[in-house]
Amino acid sequence: MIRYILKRILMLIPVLFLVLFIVFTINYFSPGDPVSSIVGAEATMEQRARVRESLGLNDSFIVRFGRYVLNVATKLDLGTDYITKRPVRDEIFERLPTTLSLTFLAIALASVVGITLGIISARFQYSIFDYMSTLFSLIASSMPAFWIGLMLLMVFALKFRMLPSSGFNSPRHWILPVATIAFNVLAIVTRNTRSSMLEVIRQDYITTARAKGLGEVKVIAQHALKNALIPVFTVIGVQIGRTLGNAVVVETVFSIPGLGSLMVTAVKMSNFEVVQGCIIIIALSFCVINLIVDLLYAFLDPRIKGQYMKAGKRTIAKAAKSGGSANG
Amino acid sequence: MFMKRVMVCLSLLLCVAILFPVCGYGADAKKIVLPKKDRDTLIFGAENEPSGLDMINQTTQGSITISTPLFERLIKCNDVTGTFEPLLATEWHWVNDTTLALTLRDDVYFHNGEKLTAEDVKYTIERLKDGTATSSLYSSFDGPNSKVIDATHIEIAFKQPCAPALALLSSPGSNVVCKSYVEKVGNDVFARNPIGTGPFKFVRWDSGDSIYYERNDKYWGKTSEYKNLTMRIIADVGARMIAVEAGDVDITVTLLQSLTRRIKNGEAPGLDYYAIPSVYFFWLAMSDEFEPFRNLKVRQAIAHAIDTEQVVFASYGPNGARLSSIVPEATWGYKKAEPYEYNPELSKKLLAEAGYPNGFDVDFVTSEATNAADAGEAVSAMLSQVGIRAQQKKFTASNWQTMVLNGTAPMSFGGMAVSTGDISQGVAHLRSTAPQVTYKWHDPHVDTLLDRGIQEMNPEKRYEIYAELQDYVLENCLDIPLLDVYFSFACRDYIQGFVPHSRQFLDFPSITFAK
Repeated sequence: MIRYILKRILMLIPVLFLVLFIVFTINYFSPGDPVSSIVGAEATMEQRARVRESLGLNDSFIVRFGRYVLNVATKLDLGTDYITKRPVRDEIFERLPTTLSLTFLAIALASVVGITLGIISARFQYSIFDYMSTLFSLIASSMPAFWIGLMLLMVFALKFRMLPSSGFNSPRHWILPVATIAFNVLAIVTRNTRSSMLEVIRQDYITTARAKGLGEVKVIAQHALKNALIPVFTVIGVQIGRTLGNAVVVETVFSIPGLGSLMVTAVKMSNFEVVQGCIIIIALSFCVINLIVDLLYAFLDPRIKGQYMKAGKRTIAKAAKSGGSANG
Repeated sequence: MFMKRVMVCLSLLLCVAILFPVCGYGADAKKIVLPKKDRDTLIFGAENEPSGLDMINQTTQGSITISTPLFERLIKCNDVTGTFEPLLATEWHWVNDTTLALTLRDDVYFHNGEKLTAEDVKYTIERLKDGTATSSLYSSFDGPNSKVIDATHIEIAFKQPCAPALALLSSPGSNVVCKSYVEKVGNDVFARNPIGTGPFKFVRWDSGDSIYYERNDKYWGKTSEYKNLTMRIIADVGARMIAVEAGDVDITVTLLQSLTRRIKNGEAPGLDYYAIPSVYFFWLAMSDEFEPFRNLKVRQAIAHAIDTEQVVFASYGPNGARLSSIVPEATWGYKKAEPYEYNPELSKKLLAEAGYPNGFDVDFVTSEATNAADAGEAVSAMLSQVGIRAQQKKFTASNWQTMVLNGTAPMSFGGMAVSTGDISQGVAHLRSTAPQVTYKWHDPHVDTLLDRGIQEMNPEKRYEIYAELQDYVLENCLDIPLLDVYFSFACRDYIQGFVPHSRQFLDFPSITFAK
């Protein structure tokens, strides 16, 4: 198991390198000059040239890319914000907790509510509740996050003055942005839980459990849920990535100082160092979250844990065999 | 057992999510919580976050409003009468055409307790040449040769006669800074942790969220009744409108047309509307590097093809006004002129006479910002009606500025805020040596008038020079004026004493909460 984890961690390196290369290339060849954003319209040509030189923007692609990779690898230095002159790493890590918090709260809310609704829908298939739940899922997954956010703002912040319209300083501030992101995920989790549960509760062992005289709650909770939730957790894991993307939009609507709003501003200002840094951190976060989700499977399902361990042993056996062959 | 594991996972997820905001990286354990919205805190909803508060390097729209509470200039300009009034300087006179003598107040202290002296003023003048926003504008100022007579007397030297000197000294670029503090911490730290002599002092900057100030109780002038001033950054205009309507901010700026109309119609209870014609304006720029635009008849055809009223309606609506001269009315040197007549038939006739009976194609580059994009669509549609196929291409602000700079935008909007309030800044883009290729004109007569206007010290003669320049520019359609933007504000109805300012110098200490 430890070997599996280490292997996955090592795999992060080529993935991040590839992401960095693609982002850097796109930034390098994109139109737009960050110097205009830095110095403004009133600056002289000499000042612009001086700023370009000081930022190393006149260097070739290879030199700039190599310098950047070296700084990241050796000093974890993600560069300097062209506009504020602050280290990009500091700016990102000031805002990353907010974005991750927004994401995880939304996922937690969507998971709890979605799984519950999905189970009830499956248990009472073709009932009024099931139809309402299906309709809700269809509507919620069709509405863009931006629109949901604005609608919630207009109702709860503007009309009823129940909740604040912007910021992320207190639990009251969390409610609307978290609900906005959770909406889409909730719909998907509900549908997947429902279909997964329907598949499982039709199995013979469920019929056996009922025949044994077990109560319905025990049948669902102790027998059906285990197998039904594995694919649902897969879906939730995938949705985390989508949620990180939605956070960008939601942070703009609710004026939340997170990574998404930092990246949007940086793109508009051609602040390439910040854009690169944000994308690397998001990619890293996504990879780490996927790894944690995969490890959660092992925690939840011993069969999967066994597979991970077998894969590790197979790798060791393979290595031993090829070493033995080389030695004759 | 399985359910127990599921509950453990979900609980962990929840704990991690809740703990993140508490254990933010690099944040102090005692992070300032947004002050409760009470009568001791004024919250201003700002539209942009500046990169720093050192105005010599700052061109972000709205940054003047954010920095005004902290800093002061030597002189201020009365927004109503246009006359210059004392601020940190009590009196001034010209020793000769290149030397201005000023007397400073003797009771001014910086926020760190140090007394303001003429050395600080000299240092402020000297650093102007290094600022990206000031080096060109203040190029006539000769810092090294400026003389400190004593603690409260200074003679500012100029490299040549500088007629807009007082206007420049009343502008945010010349905010007086504390020499010892800036030399100690450096420009970059100063920009994020500023001190000045203003009625408010800097407390904290939460990047992307808010900038916090508190009242300077040792200020020499009038202080506010409230203790705290918060600049809440809400970049999204829709979110900003909702924030002021919901009461999360007390005042906000740059309103949407829809909210302006609702407030004026009484459909937004609890809100008051304020607006003032500003020094921020737009014109249609045509590059003389694009062949058709070198022809006067083509430029005249474009001028007559555009219905400026409709452009204003499409973009700013009630928050803008048609502009007929080359600078806004709030600018010193403005001369009222007749707008170009909207006449598409005349336009087609002129195009035919110019040798373009079937029109021509041109790239029309605009910023993707809502107002500019909307105005661009209106202009593009009007030009297409006369045969000029202006293909509108929208870019981010940064890319748009780059294209205007290097001339790859043959046609674009010009937009600027005449922060000095003096016409010399508003017409500087016409000079043949100006950095923006799209805006400038290679016209020796224009250069001559610009040079004469900068150096003529007699106000009446100076006004005549710029009047001649405006007539020349309009007759030759070098710029096609479009609109003057209003600085528009929405205030909660419990706010009193709010007075908008054409150059963003809001008087925050005069604002009070209704009892």
